[in-house]
Amino acid sequence: MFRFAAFYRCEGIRAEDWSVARKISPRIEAWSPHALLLEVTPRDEENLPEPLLCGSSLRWAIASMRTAAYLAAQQTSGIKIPAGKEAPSLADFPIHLLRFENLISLSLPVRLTSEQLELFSHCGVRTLGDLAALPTVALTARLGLWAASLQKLARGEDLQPFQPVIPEPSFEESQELEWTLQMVEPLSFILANLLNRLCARLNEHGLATDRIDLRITVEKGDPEERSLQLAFPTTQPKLLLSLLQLDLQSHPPGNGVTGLALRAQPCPPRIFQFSLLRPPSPHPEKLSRVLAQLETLVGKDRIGTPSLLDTHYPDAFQLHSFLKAPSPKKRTAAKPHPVPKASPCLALRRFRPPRRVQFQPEEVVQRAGPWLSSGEWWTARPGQPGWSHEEWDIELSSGVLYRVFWDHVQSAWFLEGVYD
Amino acid sequence: MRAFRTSGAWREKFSPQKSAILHEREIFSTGHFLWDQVLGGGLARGRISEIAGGESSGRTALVFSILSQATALEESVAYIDAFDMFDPFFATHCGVELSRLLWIRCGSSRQRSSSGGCQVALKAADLLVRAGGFGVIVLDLAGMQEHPYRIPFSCWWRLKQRLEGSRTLLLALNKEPVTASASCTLLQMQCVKTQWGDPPLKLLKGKHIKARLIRGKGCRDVSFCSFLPL
Repeated sequence: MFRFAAFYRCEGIRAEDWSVARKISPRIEAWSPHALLLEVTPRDEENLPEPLLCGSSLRWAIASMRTAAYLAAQQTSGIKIPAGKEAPSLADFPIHLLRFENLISLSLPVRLTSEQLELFSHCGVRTLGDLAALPTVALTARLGLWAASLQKLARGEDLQPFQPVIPEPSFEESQELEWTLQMVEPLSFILANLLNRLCARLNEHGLATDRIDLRITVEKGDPEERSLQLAFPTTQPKLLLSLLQLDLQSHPPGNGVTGLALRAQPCPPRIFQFSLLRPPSPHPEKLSRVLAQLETLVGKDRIGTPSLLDTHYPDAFQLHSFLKAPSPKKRTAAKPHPVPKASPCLALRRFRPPRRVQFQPEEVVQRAGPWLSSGEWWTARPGQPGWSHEEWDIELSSGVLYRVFWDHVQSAWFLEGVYD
Repeated sequence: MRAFRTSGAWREKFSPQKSAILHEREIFSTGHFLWDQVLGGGLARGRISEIAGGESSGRTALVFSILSQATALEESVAYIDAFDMFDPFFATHCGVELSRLLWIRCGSSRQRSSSGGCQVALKAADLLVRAGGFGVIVLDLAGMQEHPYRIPFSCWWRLKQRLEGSRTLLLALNKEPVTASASCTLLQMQCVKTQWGDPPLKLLKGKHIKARLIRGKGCRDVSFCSFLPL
């Protein structure tokens, strides 16, 4: 059977009052800047602090109705009102407890001002019991409909449902190790347990995560912080574990590990719907795991989707992540089937970096050029003089076509690529 | 009249349904009607196709053409570059949509005499074939110049087994044929002559190449010439 405990402090509720309240009950309503209301069980009532005298200290009262508990906590501390005895228990309390500023958090059209209090006092209504004993019809006829609500408050009755403050869920898991671990493999078992609990809690709240922060406490030195950013939200512990394993293998912790902590950034899950009309694309979860493995294999900066840069410098491009999903606003109309052309076009296979070469005149049977190109001379500074090329297409006696260029800065011939 | 009894294995081997499944394989067009005619419609999906030839033989041009076809059909493609010789500018010029292309730069063109790039490229190909979802995967091993790395046949056989049943076309690009019987199509290309423009500019017009289908669904051991413009 649940009852309500009211915490009241004249000068306003403090942060330590919140911590005391959370230790007693997780369901707390911020009734006003001066009061908290807790939903308690008979067992929780035993954990309440000792009743204190009036003054600047925290007061509490317990009742089956929140209003009754709040009014009682304002007057005294440590009172427990039996169920069904709210009106008689509050009968002797002064009517000024129903002042407007006390009830301001209720958002009710109750307007008991100082003038009205004085009027009630002049008419001999000085306690909550006196107000509750007045005939309701006559009272509302003279003061308005709000008087009926005022009378209910005088009896300690609730006018609104209980609205507890729901704290932000935190998705953190940690584990301290009994002994130091040097190898990466045993960490996988611990991470698996942590991830299973983390993902289960995310699923309970209907959330997913697109970022995992890993904190590794080491024996000597500062803790290591790592962050794993995902391309899409997921709650698959196996996928997260494989990505963390790849990260640990590529960058193992320096010293012995004494503790692990995981924190997941919650976000709404994303629903993938594959089209029946479009060709199948790689599954995002499987692809992210494969890309992580490929990054471990070739390096993080050597895999991705290329895009050309807006410059005349040859071989200017940058790599982007392949996992970005196409934007729904950029849907194109159905493209017709490509019309077959006559023949492919010659392409260039580029040498990176360009090779310095020296030619024998008899080797070159045909040539075309030069084509001049230069750039970055307007931002030239010592060490970065810009570039200036003189490009040629040459054919050697073997029939192979090359593209070469004379670098005016280095004064040498370079092999840029071979036509194929 | 004698009744003939046939065993279960005999019936299963020659069942019309299984024959239809074995012979019916999706064909991927190269985007050029002359090449499709020779190849019997195109290259088979779910199998390995190999293009072999020396430098300036038009291998990369054909590969870019296939990639442009695949990206035009809104398929994801992957280019496993064992020696980092892929040029995004020319790929765009040939019609490849770069936003659908995954480029994996395994090695460097300076390491053309080592086998490190080949090994990494084969591992990357294995990972991508297992992941699935790609329309075309190009395995570019054509940068090897000296001491050709002997790729174990088991690697190609494993890739072939993994490709079975999928819609992925694995295109192997080599200087010499290396896939043996693991590939269903082998196209050998060589350069014939270069066409230059008239003086005084003498611009490079294109390349005449000769292609020979050694193994495939189309007309086998047929040579044909094609002109590849620049």
